Amino acid sequence: MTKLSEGAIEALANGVTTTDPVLQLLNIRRIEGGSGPARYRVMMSDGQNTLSSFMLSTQLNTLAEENVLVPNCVCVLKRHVTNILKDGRRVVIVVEINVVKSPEEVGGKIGDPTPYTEGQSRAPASAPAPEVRPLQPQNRNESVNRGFNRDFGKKATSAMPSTPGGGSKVVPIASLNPYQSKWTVRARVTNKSSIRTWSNSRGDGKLFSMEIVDESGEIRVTGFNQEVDKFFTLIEVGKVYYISKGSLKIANKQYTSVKNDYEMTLNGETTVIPCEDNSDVPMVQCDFVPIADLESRDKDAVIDVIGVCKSVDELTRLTTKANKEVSKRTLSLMDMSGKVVSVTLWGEEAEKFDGAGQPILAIKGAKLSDFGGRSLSASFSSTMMINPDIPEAHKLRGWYDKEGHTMEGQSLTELKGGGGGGGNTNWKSLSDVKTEHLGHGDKADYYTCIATIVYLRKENCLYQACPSQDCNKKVLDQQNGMFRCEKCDKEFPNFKYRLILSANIADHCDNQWVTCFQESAEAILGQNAAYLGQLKDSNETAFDEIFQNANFNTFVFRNRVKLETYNDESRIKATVLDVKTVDHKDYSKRLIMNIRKLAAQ
Amino acid sequence: MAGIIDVPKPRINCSMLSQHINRPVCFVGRVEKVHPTGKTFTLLDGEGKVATVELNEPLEEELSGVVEVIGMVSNKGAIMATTYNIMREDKGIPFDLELYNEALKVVHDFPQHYPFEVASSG
Repeated sequence: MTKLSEGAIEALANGVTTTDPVLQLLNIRRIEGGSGPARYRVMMSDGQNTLSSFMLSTQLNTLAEENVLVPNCVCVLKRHVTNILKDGRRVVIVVEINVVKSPEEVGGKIGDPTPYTEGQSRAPASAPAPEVRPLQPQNRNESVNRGFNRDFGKKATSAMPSTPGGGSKVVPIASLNPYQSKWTVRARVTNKSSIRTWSNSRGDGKLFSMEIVDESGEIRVTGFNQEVDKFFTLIEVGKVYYISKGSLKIANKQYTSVKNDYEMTLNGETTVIPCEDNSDVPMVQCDFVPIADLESRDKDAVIDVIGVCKSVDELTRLTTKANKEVSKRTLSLMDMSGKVVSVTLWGEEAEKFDGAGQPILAIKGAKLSDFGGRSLSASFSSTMMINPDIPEAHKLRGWYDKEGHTMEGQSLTELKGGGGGGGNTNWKSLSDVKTEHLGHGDKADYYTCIATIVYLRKENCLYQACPSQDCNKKVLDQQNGMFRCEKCDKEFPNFKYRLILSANIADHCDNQWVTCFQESAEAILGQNAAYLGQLKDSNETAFDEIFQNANFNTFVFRNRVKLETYNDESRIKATVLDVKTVDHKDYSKRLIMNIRKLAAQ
Repeated sequence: MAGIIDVPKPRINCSMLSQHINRPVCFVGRVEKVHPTGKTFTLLDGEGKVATVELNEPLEEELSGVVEVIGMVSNKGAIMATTYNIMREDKGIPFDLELYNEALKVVHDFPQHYPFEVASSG
C-alpha cells in the first residue's frame, strides 16, 4: 500500500514548505494557452485532501503528452513554486515531478480525499502571514541527497541571505513564467549582444540582448532604451548576476536557439546585481548537433555545434548592400563523425579568430544554411568558445590528436576556391538563368556558370579614370593637357586607364551579354589595363590581336543579374564579379554527379 | 583490315575486357610491373584491378605512371598493344584515374548518349 504524505496538500495550499511530498494524481486537464504553448492543470490528492490548482510548468508538458502523468499515478513532487494570483488564490507550479507508481500498481483512488478549501484548518492564505513564503524553492533546507536537487537546494540556501530586493527568492530559470511577477534568478551571462539601434515610423530606440543560464535552463533577455543605459555596461559575459522582476513573454524561436518557451524583457522595476560566489553556476548550456546530422536539419535552424577547426581561410572584406564593410572568415570544422562543415564568422569574431594549433571550437546558436550543400554561419547572436573546458571538447581533442588528424573528412559544403568560384556556389546554365527568371526579384541574384567567350566588344572598353587611389571616376579631358575629376573636384595632368568590357558568353544552351570591370576584364584579356591603353594608342594591330586571342576561351564566371530600368525600358543587366580558369577535375566531378542525379530521377 | 588507329576504340576498364574480346579498345591505367623481357607489362585501372598488356616489340624506354594503350583484346583477356602513350604528370594536374573510371562508367551506362559504337559497325 502506497503511503501518501497526508497533510501535504494543506501545506502546499498555504505555501508551507514540504519535502518531496508523495501525492496521487487524480485528474489532468489540458488548457489551451492562446498564443503560447498548452498548459496542463492537475488535481492532486494526499489521501486527505485534493487540490486542483496545480499547473505543470511547460517543460514538463511532455510528461502529460507521453502519458507518463495519468490519473491515479503516485508521484513525488520534487520541486515546485507557489504563485499567488491577484485574487489571492494560490497556484502550485510543478517544476520537477517523478512518477513512483503507475495507476495499475496503485489500483484506484487512495483514501477518500475531500477538496481542500482555503481556511479550512488554518488562517486564510490571503492574510499576509510572515512565515508564508511564496516562490520558495523546495528542499532548500532539507537534507535531500540526490544530485540535481541537492545542488539546487544548496544554491538557494546560499543565495537567500544575500538575495537583493528582500522579498523574492531565487528560483530556477526553468520555472519562470508570465504568471508570476516576484522572482529572482541567479544566472550566468553567456552571451551579450552589442547595442543595436532601430529607427522607423514609430520612432527610434536601441536595444541589447543577452543569454543567461543556470543549472535548470537558459533564457534570452532583452533590454530597451533606458535599460540599455542602465544595465549594458554593468553586464559582463561570463559573470553571474541576480536578476529580478523582468517581464516574461513567449519567445520568438525564429531568432534564437535558446531553449526556453519564454524570453525576458528588462523593465523599469528590474534589478541586476552581480553575484560574487558563482562557481556552482554552469558556464554555458549547449546541445551539440553532430556535424553528420546537419544534413537532416532544416535550413535556417539555429543549432549548437562543436568541432576541431581543421583549416582557416584568410580574412576577407566585403561590402554589404547597406554599404557597410564587414569582415568575414571561413573555417572548416570536423567532429568525430568524420564530417566537415564550413563555418563563416563575421565582424570582430572573424578578425580576432586564430586557428593556429587546430583549436576546438564550440559555437552556440550557429545558423544552418543550405548554401553549397550545408554550411553554418556564426551570427551576432552566436556565442563562440575556443578550447572550452567542457567534456565534449576534451573528448574531441583526444580523438583528433590520436586518429582524427589523419582523416580526410568528408565535407558537407561544396568545395570552394579552384574552379568553384567562391563560397556559395549557385551553379546555373545560361538557359537556367533565363527560364528561372533570375534577377527579376527585388534583390539581385548571383550565379556561377562555365561559359566560353564568343565575342568581345573592343569599342569603348577603356576609359580614362581619375588617377587618385580608390577613385575610379571617369575624368573629363579639358583639352589643355589637364583632366578633371568631378568626384574629387580636382584637375590632374594624367589619368589611368580602366576597363569596362562588354562580352558575349555562351554555354551549351544559351548565350548572354555580360559586363566585366577591371579585374575580370584583365583576367579575360590576359593583360592589364595600363598596357592595353598604351597598345590602343600605339599599336592597334597588337591591340586587336589581344581581343582575337581572348575569344573562345572558357572560364568559370560568377555573375550578378538584376533587372534594371532605363527610360521605361527594363532589361536584365549581368555583371561579372569574378572570372576563374576552369578546374577540369572539379568540373568533371560535378558533371558526373549531375548525370547520376538525373539518371536516378 | 583497316588500321586500328582509324577505327573507333571504346574506352574500357578491366571489368569490361571480357565483353571486348577480339575488338579494338583504348585502356588507361597506371603501370604496375614491367616484365624483364620488356614485352609485357601490367596496368592498374581506376578500380585497382590488373590488366596485362603484350607488345610486339620490347619496350625501348622506361615505363611508369599513367599510360594509354590502344590494342586488341585477346581471347585470354590480355591487351595486344598496337601503340601506347605515356600521360605526362610532370606538368599540370596529375591524371585522376578514379575520376577517369567514373567518367568511363557514365559512357558505358548511357550508350544512347555516347553513340561511339555506331561508326565501328557500319
